[in-house]
Amino acid sequence: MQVLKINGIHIDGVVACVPENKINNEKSLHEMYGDEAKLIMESTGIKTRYIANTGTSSSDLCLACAEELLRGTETDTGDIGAVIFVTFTPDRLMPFNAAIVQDKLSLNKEIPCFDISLACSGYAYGIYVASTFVKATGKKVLLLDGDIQSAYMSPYDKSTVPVMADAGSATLLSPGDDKAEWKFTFYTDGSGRESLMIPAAGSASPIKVEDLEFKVFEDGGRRRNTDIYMDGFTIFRFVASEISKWLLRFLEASGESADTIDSFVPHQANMYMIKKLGRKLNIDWEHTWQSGDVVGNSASATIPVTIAFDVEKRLNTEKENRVLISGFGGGLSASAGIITLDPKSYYRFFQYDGKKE
Amino acid sequence: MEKFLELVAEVFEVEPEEVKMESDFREDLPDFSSMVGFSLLVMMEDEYGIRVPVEEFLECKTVEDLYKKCVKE
Repeated sequence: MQVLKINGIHIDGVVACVPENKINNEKSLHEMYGDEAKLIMESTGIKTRYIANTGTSSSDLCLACAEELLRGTETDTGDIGAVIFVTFTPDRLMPFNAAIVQDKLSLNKEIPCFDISLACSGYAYGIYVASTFVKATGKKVLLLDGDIQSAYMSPYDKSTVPVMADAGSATLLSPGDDKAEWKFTFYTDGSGRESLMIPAAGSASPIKVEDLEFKVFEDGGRRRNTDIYMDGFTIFRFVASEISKWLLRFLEASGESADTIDSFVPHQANMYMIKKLGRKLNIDWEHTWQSGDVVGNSASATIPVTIAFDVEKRLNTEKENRVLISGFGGGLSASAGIITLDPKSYYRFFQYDGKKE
Repeated sequence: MEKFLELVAEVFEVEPEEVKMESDFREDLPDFSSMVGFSLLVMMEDEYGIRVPVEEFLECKTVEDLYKKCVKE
């Protein structure tokens, strides 16, 4: 296992938003699945989730967060030395989202701006890569993380509909105190790549008319080839068996344990899964930050969303908090980081209320 | 056999005494859900090295049915 270490980074703020439409799972699932709806909801623990209006994009949500973050931290746009946008659902396949951000925030042209496409493991990757750019530039780095999964979901699919949601976030990283050492590790198993995928409309399978037709698949799901397919059990087994052991090894290799960590902010895959994961790590539910039951699973954005959402309840305001973050899912891929959250930083969670003309 | 009952009890978060071989794990044990089903499958693979296909799992009714998948008699 490689533990990548970096120090001298400070998170100035985390802002996250959910989009326009709040879906009550009990009601909406009942319409589709009848009596089975209650079972599905109790199984995942997700009661409500947020879905964007058609046409509200990942950059729309993240820009709204970025504007609020810059305002809240009183940051001059001239101080931003790089933009990194973590998304697997950019506004367009081309160009990359970070270019939109550079333009709309009127940032310096001579700075690196790029996207990272990962899905659920994306945020810890984003934090690590952003940290390296903070060190390299000596300036602040804007890390955006957001997805519009609903743009790629079949409304009839039992695996994805009850859990998947949309969200956006912005995190500002800056040069900080050298004392706090952050640690990261990453995991990839490409043999599981078909467990969470969008089969068509990529270069391996350019879009055809038939890809937009709903079909019933072997797993009983009714989807188009342009919709997200998720093999729920394979992902569950990956997390419950493989990743739980990997995280224990990461803690040990980092010289950390449930006792040295103040908080655990896991990717909010579903509430049952993260509760089991916390238990395996000996981290109690009180110290596990949560948002998924209220806002749903928005891929890699669930970590910054959970930070912004649960901060008031769980952040220790007396000191810097040592936080274990971990995302896991499509790829198969997982990331983990031990970072610090400063109680004096700027945190905000809000609901995006639509595009302004 | 006792160990298996203990492992099943752990998945269901109940005392081992509440789990019997003849227990219908969907009806007799509390809060069964698809996630709990997944947990049982993962437990069987982790502890016994047996990967039970989901279709075979769906045919299992009692704790004993699951046990028989894991331990050849």
